[in-house]
Amino acid sequence: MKKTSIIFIILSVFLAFISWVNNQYPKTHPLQFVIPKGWPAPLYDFKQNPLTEEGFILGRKLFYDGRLSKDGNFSCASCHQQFAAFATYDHALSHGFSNSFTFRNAPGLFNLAWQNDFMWDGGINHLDLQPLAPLTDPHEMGENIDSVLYKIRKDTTYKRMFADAFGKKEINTQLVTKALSQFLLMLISADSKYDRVMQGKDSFNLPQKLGYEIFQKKCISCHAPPFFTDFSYRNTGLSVDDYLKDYGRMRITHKRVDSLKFRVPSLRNVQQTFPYAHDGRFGYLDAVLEHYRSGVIHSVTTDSLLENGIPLSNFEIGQIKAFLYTLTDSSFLKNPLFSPPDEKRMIPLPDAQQHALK
Amino acid sequence: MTLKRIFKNLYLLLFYITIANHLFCQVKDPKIFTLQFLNRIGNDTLQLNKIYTNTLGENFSISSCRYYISNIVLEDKKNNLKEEFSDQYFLVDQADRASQTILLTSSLKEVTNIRFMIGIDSIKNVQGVQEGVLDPAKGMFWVWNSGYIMAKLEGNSTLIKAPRHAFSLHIGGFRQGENTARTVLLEFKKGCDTIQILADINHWFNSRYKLPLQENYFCHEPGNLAMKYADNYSTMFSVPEN
Repeated sequence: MKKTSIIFIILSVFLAFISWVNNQYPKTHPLQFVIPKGWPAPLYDFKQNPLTEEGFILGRKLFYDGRLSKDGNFSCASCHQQFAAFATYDHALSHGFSNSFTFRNAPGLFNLAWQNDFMWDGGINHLDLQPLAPLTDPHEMGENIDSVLYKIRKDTTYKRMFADAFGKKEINTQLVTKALSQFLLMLISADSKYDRVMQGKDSFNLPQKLGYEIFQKKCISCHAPPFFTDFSYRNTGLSVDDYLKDYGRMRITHKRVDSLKFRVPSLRNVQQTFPYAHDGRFGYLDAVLEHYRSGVIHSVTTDSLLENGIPLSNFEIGQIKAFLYTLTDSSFLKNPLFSPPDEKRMIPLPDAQQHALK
Repeated sequence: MTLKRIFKNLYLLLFYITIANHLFCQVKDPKIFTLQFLNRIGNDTLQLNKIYTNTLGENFSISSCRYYISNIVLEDKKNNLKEEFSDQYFLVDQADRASQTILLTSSLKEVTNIRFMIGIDSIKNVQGVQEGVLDPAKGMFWVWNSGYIMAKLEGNSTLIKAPRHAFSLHIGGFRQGENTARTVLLEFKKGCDTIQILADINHWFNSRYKLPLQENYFCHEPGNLAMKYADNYSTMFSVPEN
């Protein structure tokens, strides 16, 4: 009799433990964040925002939802298009609310988990905060946070999705931005021809190989792999647009030494992210390379690496371009996981896992 | 060992723990300590949109007055005890009566002085999107140059040469050299558990620095002017004689 009662006690303790564990962890499906081979650890603090399939799918819905803007026309995706590596294709400045232009060129969105500050001037210090800037900018989405929350809270689909993702009935700024971050964090571009060559799975043709050698000599100190940026702010000797009057990072730090400094952009998917520079003044790669060869304006804050510009022959420019095109990651540009959600054709959940494990 | 004995021992253990608890731990009796913020202009209680004259002789009215209070420390100097409320943030808003009263659960018998920060510590400025009073939706956060607006004062003065004669002072900045968070120390003559804190808005314009509204009616980014305003308003708090 004693034996049975001991077994009974052990069993009930075990059951209590199971139900406790169950309550601790709501029924979400964790999404694995896989660091590409040879890359450093990400900077984003995943403990504060654990990735789940539910959170990712919610973030994707928000990213593609025009209702986040004042007039319903401008979703995040209207300026961040997947086929342009989430930059705006063929637009120096993007179109925003009320027929206006944005202040700067929309950058591509990828590998954001490795980035500490955001925007061309580094003014935003956390990925979760980033969406609030375009959301409230009168030249972008033109909305205010309260009415975005109002619209989302009224939507029954969102109500269900937020509850699924975060296990709470509440919908607030923090959860909206965390969901968006979950989508943005998964935008990893690490499967270009360059990456396959580095892994020994593919090989450069002759122009690509020559271009890579020139790139290593003349470009790599700022556009450092694996991100093809060192995330620093530099003055590359661009003239000041007399309408935009954009002095870059000085706007944030109020320090003269930061005058005309802008973030070094990543060159991954550079073929798709034209036009180039913070105001999109260069329509083609040739124009950018020509600037480095002959157009650098010297001022106090011009980068010391550009004292003599970058000497380049026409031949070298051709080879560098051949190399830069190997940074195009077509599997990223076409990944259906990152495409607009189709309610009828929801991406089956196992796909998310498969992508993450690739 | 039989089951009975196990239980018997367990009960005994529990009993001992309870006894030990009573013997070795000071029995604390938490009580509520109340802080009441009362914004004033000189000796008058502040009313929104009423016309006042500041100590520089400028007429003005206030349409919005909000500031963050955080990192409160209550001290009992007599018994050399203190209690920190480091993860509690409050937004005092002239337009919201309830926000002007802060309730703290304290185990101190007597509070002889209080320290608090007007503003938000730098750590919370770099930790992404927060909830509650720190939610950026409260309108006290700069989204293009991340950081909290520590204090906000908006209103009008006929002397101001700007649209609607409006002034708009959004004071913030947390980085080194631009930090606008200020710590305030107030002492009480008598220990007490409800304290009224008077905030004389006149100090914004005339205290450590003279900042006439006519010249300094617009402040919307971190920098020197913001720090001067922060220095000024950090002196605005006092406790009535008790």
